[in-house]
Amino acid sequence: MSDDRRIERSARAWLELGPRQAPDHAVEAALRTIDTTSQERDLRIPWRFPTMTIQVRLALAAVIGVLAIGGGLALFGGTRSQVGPPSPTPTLPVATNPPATVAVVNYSKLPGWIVFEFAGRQAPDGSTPAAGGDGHHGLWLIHADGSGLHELAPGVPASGKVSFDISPDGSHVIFSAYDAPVQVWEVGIDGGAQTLLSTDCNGIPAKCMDAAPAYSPDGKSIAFLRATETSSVLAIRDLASGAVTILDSTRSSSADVWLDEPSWSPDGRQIVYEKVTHDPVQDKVTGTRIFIVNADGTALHELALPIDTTWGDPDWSPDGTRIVFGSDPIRYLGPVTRSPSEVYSARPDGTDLKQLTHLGVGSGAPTWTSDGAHIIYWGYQSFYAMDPDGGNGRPINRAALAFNVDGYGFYAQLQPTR
Amino acid sequence: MDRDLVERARKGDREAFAVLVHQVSDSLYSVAYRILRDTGLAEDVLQNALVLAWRRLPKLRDLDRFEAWIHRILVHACYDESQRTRSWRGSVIALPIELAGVTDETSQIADRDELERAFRWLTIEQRAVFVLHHYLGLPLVEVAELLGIPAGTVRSRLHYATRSLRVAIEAGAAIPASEGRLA
Repeated sequence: MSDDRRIERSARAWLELGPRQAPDHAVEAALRTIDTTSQERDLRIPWRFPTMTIQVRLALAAVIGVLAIGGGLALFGGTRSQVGPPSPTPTLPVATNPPATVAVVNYSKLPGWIVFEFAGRQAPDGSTPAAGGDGHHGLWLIHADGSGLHELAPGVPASGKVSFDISPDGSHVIFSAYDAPVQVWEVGIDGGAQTLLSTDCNGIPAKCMDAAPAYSPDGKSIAFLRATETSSVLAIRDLASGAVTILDSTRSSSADVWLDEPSWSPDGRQIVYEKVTHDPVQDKVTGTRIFIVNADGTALHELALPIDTTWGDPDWSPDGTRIVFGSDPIRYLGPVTRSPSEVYSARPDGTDLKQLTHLGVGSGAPTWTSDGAHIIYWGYQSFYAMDPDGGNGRPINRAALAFNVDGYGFYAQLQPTR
Repeated sequence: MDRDLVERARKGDREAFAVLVHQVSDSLYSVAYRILRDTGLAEDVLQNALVLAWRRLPKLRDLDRFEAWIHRILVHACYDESQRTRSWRGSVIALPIELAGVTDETSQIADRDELERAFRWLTIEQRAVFVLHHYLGLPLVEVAELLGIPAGTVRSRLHYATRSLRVAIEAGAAIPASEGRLA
């Protein structure tokens, strides 16, 4: 190498070598430090007196003069009042100072399992699924502190597991199979053998598919989608007897409608769910809306929300007063997204709509914790938790619960521990 | 860079800042490594720069310049780190280079070793200009703006950096790395 241009060319190629990705542990260490670090803020003090008229200036000068003369008399032999005890030293009102630093909420101590759905080329533990093609679809469990990561009862059904719900007592999980035969199954949260619940539905597309199950508050029945060649409809299965009740009012054409994400009101009388419309010609999702129906099929109505947003992923609060949902259902995020999804909540009549997240980079699939104290949701590169009013929203444990390298973890729920 | 995120982070929203961090940390780390030529130091500098940026963010006036602003903090963190580690960097030992009868492939590797060694001759300020211009591809005017120094100074540093590299490479293996100019 002799000339500068050649050196520059070589140097440019040489500079391309070397690491290009910041180590996660370094970034996490910085963020942990930031959690307890205050920002430097300028104390703003006006440096000019307000504008005053000449009269005001004269009056102010007179007052100062009187105070000065009075003070001098008091100090150097003026008459002292002997009436009563000396008055207490006047003090400025004590301002209530905000805490110096915001208390850092530590969600990594949340009890129980976090169960989540995962789809990707590589499983969350780094293993590569044996089944090729569409990659891995499974349910995974992890503790909030990052320990215990494992797949729930892998292998059955072979196509994988999606759309799960945890039983109210935290002991079982129901889910539907990712691909045909699309049926609903139940398994203990500790694993073990799966039980096929869709005994009256063969799971064959265009024949009969059961999907998207949700436990009733007493755990004795499940709501789910039943899709046939002609229709999509919500149904309820009694877990003891196996009897299925079709909620006929919810029936739509299966050619262009899919019902998803049902969630029961805590009194078991109503079910909120998501209605996904689909253009079969273009094979793309065209919209999503949220509906509520009584558990006996009556009083079907749409949750009264602004019509310009693709609302989805509803979940009813344990106290029944609010429904939390996303401005874009995560499962259909790609086709319908116009702006980053955020988490909202509203009363069951659609009033008092509140936006709970504001990250602007995608937040959704919210679910309540069983005590109603927190909302778990999918957020930027990790799972998050927040208070019901949107406060204290932050990652549960970003370092341990980030499943976005070769796939996505989403639809997390915290195991009820009552 | 999302201006709204920057604004929220400036007002104290840690989550917004975390999102920004994930968007810029790879670039910051890459630059730090290429200036310091040490992954451990680059990690330290990255962390220091991120924490410093968080503390100083309320003072950022032009939100659209966040990325340049945080890179400037990083480069200055590199300066600080090089001052701190000046004493021990001299003990870095480069592997001996055998140039005779090498193939094209090994010749390239030899060039890399020469560059690695020669780069240590540059001052930390020269390295920063060299990396920002030749690695990030920033025009000299932008490098000047990012570093807060005159464009003429940037041009001068780049010129002397290139010349120092050439001199060091031509001097070749005769110059032990341990005697190279310290950062």
